[in-house]
Amino acid sequence: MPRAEDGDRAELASGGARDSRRVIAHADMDAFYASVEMLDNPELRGRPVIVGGGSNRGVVSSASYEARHFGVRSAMPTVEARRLCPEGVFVRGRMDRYAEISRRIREIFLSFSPIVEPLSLDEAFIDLTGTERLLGEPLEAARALKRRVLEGTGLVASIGVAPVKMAAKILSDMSKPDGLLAIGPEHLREFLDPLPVERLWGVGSVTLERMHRAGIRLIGDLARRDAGELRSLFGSFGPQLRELALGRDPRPVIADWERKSYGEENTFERDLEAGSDELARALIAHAEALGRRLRADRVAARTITLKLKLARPLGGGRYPLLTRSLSLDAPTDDGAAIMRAVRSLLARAANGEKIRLAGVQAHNLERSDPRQLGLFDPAAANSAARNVRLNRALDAVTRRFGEDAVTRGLAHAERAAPTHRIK
Amino acid sequence: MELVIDRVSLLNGLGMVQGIVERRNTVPILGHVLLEPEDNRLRLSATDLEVGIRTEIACSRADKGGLTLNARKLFEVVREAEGEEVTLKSLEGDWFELRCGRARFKMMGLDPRSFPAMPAQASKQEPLGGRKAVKGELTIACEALAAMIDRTIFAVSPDEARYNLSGVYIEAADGNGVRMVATDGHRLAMVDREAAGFNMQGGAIIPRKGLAELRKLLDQAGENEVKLSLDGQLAWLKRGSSEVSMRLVEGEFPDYRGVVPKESRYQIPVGREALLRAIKRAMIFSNERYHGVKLAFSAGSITVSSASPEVGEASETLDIEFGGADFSIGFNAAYLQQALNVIPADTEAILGLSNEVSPGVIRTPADSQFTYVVMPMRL
Repeated sequence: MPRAEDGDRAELASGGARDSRRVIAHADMDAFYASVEMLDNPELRGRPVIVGGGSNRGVVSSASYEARHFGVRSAMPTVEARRLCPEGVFVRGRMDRYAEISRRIREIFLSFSPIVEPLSLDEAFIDLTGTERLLGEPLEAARALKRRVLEGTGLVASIGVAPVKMAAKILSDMSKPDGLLAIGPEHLREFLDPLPVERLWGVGSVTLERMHRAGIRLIGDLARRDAGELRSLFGSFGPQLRELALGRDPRPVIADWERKSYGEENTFERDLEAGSDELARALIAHAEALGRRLRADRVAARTITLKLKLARPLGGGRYPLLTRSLSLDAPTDDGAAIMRAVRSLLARAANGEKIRLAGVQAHNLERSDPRQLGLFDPAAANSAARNVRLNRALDAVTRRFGEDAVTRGLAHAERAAPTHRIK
Repeated sequence: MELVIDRVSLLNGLGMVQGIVERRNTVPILGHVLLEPEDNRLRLSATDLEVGIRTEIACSRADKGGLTLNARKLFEVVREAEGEEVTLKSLEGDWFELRCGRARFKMMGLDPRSFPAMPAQASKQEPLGGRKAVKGELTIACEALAAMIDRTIFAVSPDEARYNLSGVYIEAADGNGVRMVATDGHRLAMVDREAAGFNMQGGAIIPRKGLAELRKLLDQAGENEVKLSLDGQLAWLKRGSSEVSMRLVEGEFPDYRGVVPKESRYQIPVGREALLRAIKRAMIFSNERYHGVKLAFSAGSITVSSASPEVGEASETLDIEFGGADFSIGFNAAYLQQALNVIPADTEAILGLSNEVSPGVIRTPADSQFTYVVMPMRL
């Protein structure tokens, strides 16, 4: 069983055998955006704070625990949140500020282990394997991590510790608020079996419905099914889910600089035409934001993906999702180059459709190592040189005055909702 | 056949040809030196087919007939032996005996008739194809030519696949002058010298290896003036009793004029010695692969710094005359170091810089005809 912070049963394996075993922590900030707002504005403390898009089409991105008492949840439409919690303090998100605090938190994580995989601004996996000699028992290390985050930022993190990523994430979620749960490898199955199957990553509403029809309600039900049977029911996804249900999740924690992709997206206040200037503006803003993040992390992307959610509903609150990708000749960290790719993708997708959500992603990342410029590639070098200078200047202005201080041409328009980092 | 040769002369002669003897031994004869006695002279020849060197030494007694011997082994034997004279005598078959002092060596030769012709002899018969033949004769002071080579050859591309950058480009400069230019695509070194009467249509690319051998010749005793001949696909130079000849590199040298900045925003004088030393110190902590160092300028100072994650950092501030706005620029430290190395000590280097992505220029009042252009590095 998971072990609570102040429990006294040693759940984590001890002794030499542990050397070959992984210790993965998942740290998740409690009501992150709302907590930052309360931190910066003490008057908000103790009140139901709801951070989200300012308009009625937006969704709640974060709700304080006081607001959650009223049933407000993140990803809930703002309209519904207002209905549930009329006295709530609705705050428009300040992504720059959250990003700043997020960097501080990440530095604290990095002082515990070099292998930190951020999932978003407020969530990260930290690989504590092999840190025992330095940091003590994993539970001790996790306790110290919680304390250091609180001391360093005034914010509370909930932490789960397990031999696999999937379980660590479930544990941090279960431990909230202000919790710490850890489990060792020998109790993993015992812990997972009685949990509802939707706790597993990848089990969405469609899969869940089919699972229920097949009589699978708990993770243990899934674990006990035959792999072949699951394949016939769910395709190749079936046996994969069964592996997770058995506590087998070989995915390593991937350090930030090895991350796979970056993404920016937003849902529009009203549906937009595929060929409209407004859509182009939003995409430019995304492309520029991506470029900034790539440059800040000193990486460049070779593949650019355009993601569009179409406005015509499929029913059940779902909409058709289109993704189109393009590989570039050379990796880029330049917003204008990303936008060029996006434009050519847009031309091939969604003709005449109305668009509900648009996003841009960058994958296939390479580290931008020191780059010797060449003498004889004038056109390329000169324009690259101009872009580098322009981007540096833009980044400097953005750092000082915020993301809306400077935008490229079309992108200056009002943004329906703040660009959200999705990866 | 028997030869008697002064040991030190032979050692010097063999030393001269060592540089181009084939080391890989894929074609055995290219690892050999050809010895041809004639009228109390002994001619030594070596070639790698691209570059050929010939030199003559005195020979107190010589019978007719040429021979070849492994050039490296022969050099080592003569170097290690003791005694005034070396006696070389043919034995049965392809074997030769070498005596020096009380030591005796036996070495196997190859058929001298299979020894390849020097580039100079070989290509004269070859058609030029569609290429325009360059033709020019450069008569220049020995030390001026040496300085030109020293100030350019280091910038030649080591990448043999970029053949058109694998040598030093030579052409007539405006108004009775000669110009040499070398570049590896990241930096470029260019130097002019006066050369009365030098006239040549177009330019030629002199291969790095051949030019390096030619440079050695310039250190030998001899007349103050030398003549470098360019003809067709060949270049050659005679000095004293030695001659080096080489095939020119085929290919178009890039349009170098376009990459030399006409002007720079800042002209910053820095003591050559102090800057060179600071760069060498910063190099200790620059990334091993990229050798990046940062030059940060601010009113009255330049700070040279480097950082290598998990290894360490270095930084050093020098007082200079600079009154512009703060800016910094990254460079490959080796590119700066090599340029500063060819600037005379105790002089100033003038750094011509505009911003962190535009080419930088290094000049010196000590040689106003030297220009070095170097592209920055994004750090």
